[in-house]
Amino acid sequence: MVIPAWVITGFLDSGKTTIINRLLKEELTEQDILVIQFEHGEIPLIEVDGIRVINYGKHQLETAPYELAELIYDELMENPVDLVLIEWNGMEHFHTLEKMFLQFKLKSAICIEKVIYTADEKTMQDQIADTYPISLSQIAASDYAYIQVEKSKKIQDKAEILFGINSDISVFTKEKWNRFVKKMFGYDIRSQMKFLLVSSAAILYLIVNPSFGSFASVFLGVFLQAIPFLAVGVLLSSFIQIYIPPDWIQKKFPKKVVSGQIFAVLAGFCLPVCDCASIPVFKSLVKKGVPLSAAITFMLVSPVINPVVILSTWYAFNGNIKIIAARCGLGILCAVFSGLSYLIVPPVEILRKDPGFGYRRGPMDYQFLNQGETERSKFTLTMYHAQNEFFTVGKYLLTGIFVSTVFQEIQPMLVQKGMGISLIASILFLMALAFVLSLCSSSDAVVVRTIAGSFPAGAFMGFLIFGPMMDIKNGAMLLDGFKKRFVVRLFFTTAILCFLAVFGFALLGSGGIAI
Amino acid sequence: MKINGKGINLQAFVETMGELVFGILLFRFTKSGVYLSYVTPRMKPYLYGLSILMFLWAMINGMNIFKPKYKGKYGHLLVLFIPILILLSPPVIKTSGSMIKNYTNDNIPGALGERSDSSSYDAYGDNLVKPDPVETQEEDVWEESQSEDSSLPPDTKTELQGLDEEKKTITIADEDYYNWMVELGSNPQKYLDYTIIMKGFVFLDMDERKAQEFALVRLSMWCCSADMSPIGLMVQYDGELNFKEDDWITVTGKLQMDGSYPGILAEQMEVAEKPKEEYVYPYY
Repeated sequence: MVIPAWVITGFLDSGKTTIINRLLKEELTEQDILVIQFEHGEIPLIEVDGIRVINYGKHQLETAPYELAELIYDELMENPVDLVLIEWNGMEHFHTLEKMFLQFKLKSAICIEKVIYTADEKTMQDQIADTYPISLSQIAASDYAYIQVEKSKKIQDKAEILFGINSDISVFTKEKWNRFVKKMFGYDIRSQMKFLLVSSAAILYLIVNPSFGSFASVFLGVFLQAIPFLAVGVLLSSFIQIYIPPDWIQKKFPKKVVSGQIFAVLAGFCLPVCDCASIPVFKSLVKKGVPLSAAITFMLVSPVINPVVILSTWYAFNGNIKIIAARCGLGILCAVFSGLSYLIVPPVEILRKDPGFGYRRGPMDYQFLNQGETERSKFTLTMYHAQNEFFTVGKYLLTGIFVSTVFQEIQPMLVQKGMGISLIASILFLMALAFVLSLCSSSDAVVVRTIAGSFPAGAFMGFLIFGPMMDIKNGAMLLDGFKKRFVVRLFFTTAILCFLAVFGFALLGSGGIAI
Repeated sequence: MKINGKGINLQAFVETMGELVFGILLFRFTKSGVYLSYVTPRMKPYLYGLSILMFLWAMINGMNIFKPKYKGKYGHLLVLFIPILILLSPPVIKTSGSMIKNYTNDNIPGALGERSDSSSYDAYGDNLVKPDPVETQEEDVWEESQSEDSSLPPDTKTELQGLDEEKKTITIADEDYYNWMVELGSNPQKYLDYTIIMKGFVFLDMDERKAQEFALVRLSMWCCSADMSPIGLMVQYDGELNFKEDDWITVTGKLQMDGSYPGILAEQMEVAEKPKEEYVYPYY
């Protein structure tokens, strides 16, 4: 018979025994229960009929976990119970528990059904930071969190920390004990529902697939165009994260503002990728402590002026050097000024809440931050990192592509609407169009070429410059990791600067460009 | 193998399988050339690279399959799952014509007809023809950039195949299609009265189409399936047109000038096979 087990984990004195006691006293009466404690807390376990307790020390856990597992197995085989409660040691990585209780040998005896993370509202933030990877592993593996809190105190910010690590976790307090108990005894069907939903959507797609016609093929086309570059981007950024020591870039990076900006522009030129790749790289640069203004200049400029984009613009406009020069020049201008604006008014906080360690939303799988990153080669670590980033950013990329495909379907209508409007309106219109179409910067020149003739000369530059810097796809990717306020500010800064630059350029006769 | 501490990690298993399947599908997709319906040949090495990366990741994740894990996360796998689904049953493009959206006519000289506002379309003519012979200042600039341009795109300067000056015939092979369209667009006078043999599909859905006229075009892909545009010549014919839209045909006829645009006066039209590479990839 397989016996269900609940795991209660959390830092020492965070209230693990308190929860167990309350469960035993109020909810689990008249049941045969085995409590396995891997920690001695200050509060003793209450003594109730039908409850047996086994106690193991931290030392035993460290030296002979499999022997302990074997002992527990024998115990359960000899004296089966209705439920096992495991009080896990707060200083032990959760993966040790997994290796003990989820191994093949114990499959026939025990089945972990719920994991609860307990924490004390007053101390949790520091404790999580102090015991990082271990606390992270416990939070990431938990289904529910139970926070000890003084009456009527708001715990929203504390819950945020937990959500930041494990987005699925449900947080409870003493006041919500009834709901908590209901959850403990209920069977969570959310994941099954999601699975069903996805499978039915898949089947539906396969049935009606032919009628999707051009929509699906446009989607696939843009996806295939973008996704290899995203892969290049995440590999590069993971390489920076893992291989380059934290202070190396900071030390080497030019200290002076001007040389920093020049360096950023040159680096942007040398990175032959489009915007899908520059955003992950930007993120890792910021984390590595590159001055924000230079990092922003780099991110904005690289999709506009890199060689691939120059080449595709050259092709699209039949080698019109003036257009390339204008695109690069205005691009650099806008990017540098946007970057510098962050020097004049520095933002307060740009990265999303990050409880003291370098990873958000468990991007790094909790198992891999395990007993020693040392035992894994740097290469493997880079690959894990790249994969995580690929999946997190990929979600946003797919959404962005989806939305922009919808817009592309209605683009002819949009273009028709926009024909014959004034210069200012045209620039704004084309910038908005670039934003919603979210084309890859290596291909947008071709698209704008076909519609540029409908608008006043020079206006299409707004499309060519603003599009690569900011669009739906980029914005979505930035929102993963950066504060909303930062992204909004970046949007308005680049939009205003692009508009002014293009407007001024058009007023000055567009440099004699007539396409 | 040490069995102690080994269990199933469903997440790692699903990830490995997902990456493996995506890698295999993508590799097959690229190898078989189906990818050409969605992106240009330029992407080929990148797509191969991506599928190899997927194999590598599958291998690395595969090492974790037996490291037991309590709480698996699967949401992120949609990033692979959706493309797998689409790759499993690539979208069917029912008709070539249906892929043409807003770009209609821009690379078919003369398809715009003699519209009064056609000057706003100058940009469209590009490397093909100057749509309107009216001398305006704008046109001068156009002329300038035109002459500047013609010396530039390297790929179009390659020698043109299929030209027989003695017999005054031009036979356009599938792979020379784009180069010939550029050449005929820029120097139509040079080939006046040549007999031209050209393959394309029938395209009728134009606002300004006159009677006894259709466009013989192929779709050109500049970057991906999001930016297909037709490129070709207008054909005039006598009598009945026995073909419907999207039919692939070979037209034999005399190259003539229709106003300032090159066009074909059809002598013979017959059913043709769709070319192996259905689309035209400029500058590849």
